[in-house]
Order: sequence, then C-alpha cells, then structure tokens
Amino acid sequence: MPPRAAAAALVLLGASLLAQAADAERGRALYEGRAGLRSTEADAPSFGCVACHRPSGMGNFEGGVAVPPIAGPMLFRALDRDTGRYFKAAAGWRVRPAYDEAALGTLLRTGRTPDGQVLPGTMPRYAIGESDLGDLVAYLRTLSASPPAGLDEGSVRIATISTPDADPARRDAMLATLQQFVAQKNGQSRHEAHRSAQSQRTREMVMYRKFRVWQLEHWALQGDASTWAAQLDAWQAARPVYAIVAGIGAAQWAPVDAFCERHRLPCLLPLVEVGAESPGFYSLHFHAGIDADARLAAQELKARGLRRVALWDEAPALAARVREILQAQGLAVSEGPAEAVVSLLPPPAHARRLDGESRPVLWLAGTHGLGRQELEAVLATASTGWIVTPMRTGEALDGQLQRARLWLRGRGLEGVPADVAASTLQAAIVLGEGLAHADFAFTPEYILELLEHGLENVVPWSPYPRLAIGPGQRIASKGSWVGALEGGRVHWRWTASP
Amino acid sequence: MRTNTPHGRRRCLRWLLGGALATPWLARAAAGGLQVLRPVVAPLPSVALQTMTGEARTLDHELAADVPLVLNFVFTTCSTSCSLQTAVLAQLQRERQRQGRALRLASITIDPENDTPQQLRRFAAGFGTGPGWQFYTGRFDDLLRVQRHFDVYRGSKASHPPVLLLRRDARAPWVRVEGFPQAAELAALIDTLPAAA
Repeated sequence: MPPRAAAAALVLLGASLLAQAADAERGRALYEGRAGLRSTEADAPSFGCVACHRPSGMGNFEGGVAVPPIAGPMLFRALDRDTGRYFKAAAGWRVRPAYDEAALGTLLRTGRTPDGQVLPGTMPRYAIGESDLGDLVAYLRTLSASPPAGLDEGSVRIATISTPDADPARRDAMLATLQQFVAQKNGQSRHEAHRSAQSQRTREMVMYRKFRVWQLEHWALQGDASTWAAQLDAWQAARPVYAIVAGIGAAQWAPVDAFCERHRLPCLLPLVEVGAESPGFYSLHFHAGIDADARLAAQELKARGLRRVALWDEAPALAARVREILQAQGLAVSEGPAEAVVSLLPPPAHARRLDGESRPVLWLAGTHGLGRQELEAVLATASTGWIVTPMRTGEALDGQLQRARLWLRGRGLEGVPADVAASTLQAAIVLGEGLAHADFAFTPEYILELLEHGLENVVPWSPYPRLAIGPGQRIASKGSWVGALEGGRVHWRWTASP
Repeated sequence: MRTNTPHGRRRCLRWLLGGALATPWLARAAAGGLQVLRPVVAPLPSVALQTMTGEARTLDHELAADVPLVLNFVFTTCSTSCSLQTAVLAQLQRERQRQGRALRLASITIDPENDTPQQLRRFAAGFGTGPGWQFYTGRFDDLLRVQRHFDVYRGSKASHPPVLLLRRDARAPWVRVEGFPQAAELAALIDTLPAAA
C-alpha cells in the first residue's frame, strides 16, 4: 500500500473508532431521561431533554414557553435570517452560529449560547461530562435527520386499511369518502403549486412549501390476523406510505397498531372498534372502543344486580371478544335463561330484535351513529334497558352530521352513511392540519406532537363529542354516554371510559 | 365573569410595582420577565371539584384557607410549563415546611378528561408533594368556568399561561404572578402578600 493511502486508511480507521466511541443509543437514553443527566442545582427540576424538546427534537410551544428545536439538522447549523424566522417567540435566537459539541457542552453546563446569550432558567443546567456529551451529540445528529417514508418534495402517500371481517358497506363508504377528499385536496394543491412556482419568492414562501399531492392506497388485509403483519410490511416495503388515515375492521386491530409503531407511521383511527387497549406513540384512536364500552356495560348491569346476560350479535369474532370482557367483569354470558341482554347489533337489526323482548337490553352501539331516527326506532318498541354509545346522539348527532351530509351531496355521494363519512373526513382533515403546521419538518413524531396540541382546535366533523389529546395521550374522546330508556325517553349520562 | 381587563391589569402592575420596587427581589423579578398583578377576582362560585383522593369538594370552600394559599392550573401530560411550575412549588413547600410555616397549595387540572384522581396522585407523587397540597379534577365545563373566573383560559390547554394566584387568607385580595418565579422569589412574595382591606 502506498504511504499516502496507508495514512488515509489510518485516518479513516481513527474516525470510525471515534464514531464508535460515541454511543448514540446511550445518547438516546440520556435524551429520554432513562440515563442520569443531573442538573447542576441539587434542588432544581431535572428532566430528560425529551420532556420539553419532545421525541422529535423539534421543540415545543406550551404555556407561554418557546422551546427551540434541538434535532441535529436544526442545532448543528447556523440560524440565519431565513431559518431564524421560526424563532419569533424568542427574538434572541433568531440568528446564531451553528452549535458544535463544545458549544453544546457550554450551553448545557452554563446556559451560554454560542453568540453569548444566557438562556432563561426554564432551560436547566446540567453537569454533563465529555463522554455523555459525545453520546448525546451522536444521538441528536440522528434525530429527525432522515427523510420520512412516503413523503417527498411533491407528494405524500397515505394508506387506509381494511381487515377481512370489516362490514363491506361501511368499508366502501370510508373508501368513497377518502377518494373524494383526496381528489378535492389535490385539486386545491395543484392550483396552489402552480401559483407557488410563479417566482423564486413565492416558491420560498412557507405556505407553499407545505403543499403535497396526496396519493391514496387501500390496503385490504386478507386471511388470518397472524399473517397481517407480513402483508403490511410487504406493502410498506413496496410502496411506502407516510400515514394511515382511517381504517376499518371488526374484532382485531392490534397487528395494525403494531405495524404503525414498527414503521413510525402516524395512524389516525376514527372507525376502529378495537386496538386502543395498548396505545403506543403512533396510533391515535378516536375512542377507547368496544372493550371500554363493554366494561362500562358490565358496571351498569352489575349495579342493578343483573349478572346473567344473553348476547345478541351478527359478528361472531367481535361477540367473542365482548363475551370475554363481560365474563372478566364477573358477568355470566348465557346461551340459556338470562336476566338481561347485551346487544351488539347494528341499528336496524337491533330495533327489529327488540320487538316483544321483555328483558332489559343494554345496547353497545359502537361506532354506529344513533340519530333521531335510530333512537325513535328503539323507543317505538317500548323496550327497557340502556344504550352505551361513544358518540353524540339524536338531534345533536343529526346537527353535527349536517356538514358531512352537505359535503357528500355536493360530491354525488348521497348514499354514503354520514357517520362513517364524517369520521373519515375528520381523520383526513386532522392529517392535513398536522402537515400544514409542520411547515418544514415532516417527521412523523413532529406531526403527532403538533396534533397533541392542535387536535382540540381542529374543526369538528366527527360524531364524537370532543376530540383532544395531549403529550402521550392517544385516545381522543375519553368517555361514552350511557342512556337509560325510561318512559319513552332516553336519559343520557356521560361517563369516563373505564 | 372576566376577572380583569388588560387595562386594569396594567394599572394594577403600576400600583404594585410603584409601591414595592424598593423590595430588591421584586425589582429583579420585574427584570426577569415576571409580572406581579393585583387582579379583581369576583367572589368564588361554588363549583364542584373532586380531590385526587376522590372526595367531592367545592371551589369556594377549598380555597377559603386561613393561611397563605398558592393556586395554579396544570395538566399531567403537560410537556413544559406545568412541570417547571410544580417543581418550583414543591421546592417552596419543602422550604416552608422546614421553617415550620403554614402554606396551602391547590392545583386544578385543565385537562379533566385525562386527569383522573389516580392520574393526579401519580403526578403529585412524581414531584414529592406533601400534605397541605391538594390536586383537583372535575367536570370539563365546570373547570372551564373556574379557568375563566381566574382569567387563565386561552382557548386550549397547550396555550395556558404560566400563572400563579396567591392570597394571604380567605378575605385578602388575590395576587397574580405571571411567568416563572423561583422558589425564593415566591417565598419573599408570600411574606409580603397584602392583607384584607
């Protein structure tokens, strides 16, 4: 080997050894507060960086405190007048040189920035050693540094998922709604993209940098749930998507939630009855689902001394799931004589079945919207019992769905059930809002963090009463109504999901 | 129901700072971005609250202490300001306990849908809060009313301002601190809280 090449090899070897010496995984543990990063003031609060700078490292604005981004792509480059505009809340940060490891060490230990400012006490000071600092820097360089799947300069690809046991009519309603939404959105986007290309100035304007043409995929899962993970992984490998918008199933959803976690995909799920029992970071369920409502049902029945129930259902797998929950709550689910009935039937079948039934019936309506017509059909049977529903009901629901009905009518989709359409539209609009606010950093974590703060302010379309999450919260509507049928009326009571 | 107007607040600030700038800590506080105000707060309504141990209480009753009281608004999944504020209050409480001086603290959640009594207990335990500090939840609409009463509602929980409300006793006027005071600054402020007129 010529001497110059040998020297170069040695330098490369040295560099790779140095790179190995810094442990990004340990840096991550420091960042997330799982490994000790102690504050210099014994009595001062000591959190991991993640508490304020968030999993994306893109910072945060909460309670009047502007927490700047510290993900590598932001921290280790200079903020000039252009990039500095993202820091309006703290004018002092608008222009600064790039951080390097030494500058970050100084900041963490003393609060002094590379341009000589001292950060307020809301940023703790840490007695960080050189080795920890190296690890932390190694992690920060990876944070929000790689481009997300399914999104490029011009387009964003999304998928919706159906499981083989999903109700075909509701699945098709969801698909028709999404296709129309995407067509409409792209119509607007093409227009905006055209305008944005008029000049250098408009091309650089923030509002135009967010526009992407949406591409919609429908991933129809087949076969047994044990094979779904492989099907989903194969689709994501072949045609990666950025997010899952809506999706519909019946008794099983956990493999999809696991897929969302595995591939770091924001999954916005208004129509899924199950799966929210083990929420992670990436799946946002609009409600805790049929499991929580079944527990609520068991509480209601037990409180009235009703312990032996029969089950009415059309979907055996979902019924098996509910049976298990009721039994776990201490109820006997009987094929024979029973003191009460738990019904999982959809609205028309439920009302038909009530005719002539003398036992009290508790109806778990799930994601079926109960407008005035559906409630009147139940009341007309003069049956007794209760209704458990996570959604608005009666005239309140009809009023809420009016916007979706008008939207459907304007697109020639009058036959599509408005409750399914409204929930689907809500999920798509929520993703659009997230993308619109992400501005320039479309990492999936950042989108979800923006929704943690922004979801409650998105215009409500869905039949759910109030959608709101917060950091770490992934169930948007946190209760259900329990309605008691009495004297030809329903008396509703809002109850937190157990 | 509004407790004060921006104009009224500015006037209060002038009033308080004009008389008290001689106090060294307050001058520092003003320099550090803290605002200490004397808002006009209407008599407290009898809003139903639930403590972190699950007992039913009412707002007016709970805040009627005959010792100094600090009130703040938090949510347990808050990613910045609530944790900073709660940590400082915990430090303040430890210091007052060490001195053997009474202090009541009340923290009301602005996210009752998520913050069950159990969730509040977990949050409080995380900061090592002691006796004399109660956390409250309640119905969403009721707690919205409480936030509006103290002028701390800004449209969503993420937008809530960092505010502490203090008073010397149940008859004394409220003092409103905006910003992030340190424990020592709060301790000094508590010692100079105005008495009932």
